[in-house]
Amino acid sequence: MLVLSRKVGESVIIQNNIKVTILEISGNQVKIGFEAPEDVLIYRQEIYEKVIKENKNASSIERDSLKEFAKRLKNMK
Amino acid sequence: MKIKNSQFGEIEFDDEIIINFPDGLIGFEDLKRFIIIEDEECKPFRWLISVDEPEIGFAIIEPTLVVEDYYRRSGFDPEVYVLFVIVTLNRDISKISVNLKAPVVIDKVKKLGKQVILENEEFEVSHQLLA
Repeated sequence: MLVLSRKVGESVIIQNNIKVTILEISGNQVKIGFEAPEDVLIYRQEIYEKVIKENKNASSIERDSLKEFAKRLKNMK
Repeated sequence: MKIKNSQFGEIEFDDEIIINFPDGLIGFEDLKRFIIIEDEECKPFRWLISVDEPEIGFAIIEPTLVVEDYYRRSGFDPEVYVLFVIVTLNRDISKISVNLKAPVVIDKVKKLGKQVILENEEFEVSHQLLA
């Protein structure tokens, strides 16, 4: 891992077009700003991993389960 | 084009309905093409099925059926985009949930799709439908 020290207000440039700026430090929290092209996806790691896990759980076509659930919802109305 | 899977058998469709996902879905980055199919017995749910790997598919629903002003709250213009949220099925019906945090966003004109993670704190990855 590349490790760089930065002060508040300083930035790093990645791949010519992504700029990461340290905006604020308070206690053990750091506020970071990102400037990147629109197609660059930037996520908090823990949420990103949670979405991967949720997608994997949702990825099989369980048609019977969904039919059953749709029927149940209809009857509730 | 035709695809085949164990749940639907053969599905034949017009290539025009294919939605391209240049980044795939989160965790499924290799799957770049999907179709949305109606399933009469599963209404109001639909299926988002991978053209490249037809055994992979997701139950989806329009988010406005869960959160009425979802477009406004997520910041997407309904004139340009159509949004769906992915349903996580479970044998225990009370545990069936939708992922309001990471909707599938489709540009209606360009037929381009993308799954995004919203900043909104109020939306959950696992929002139970029968709460």
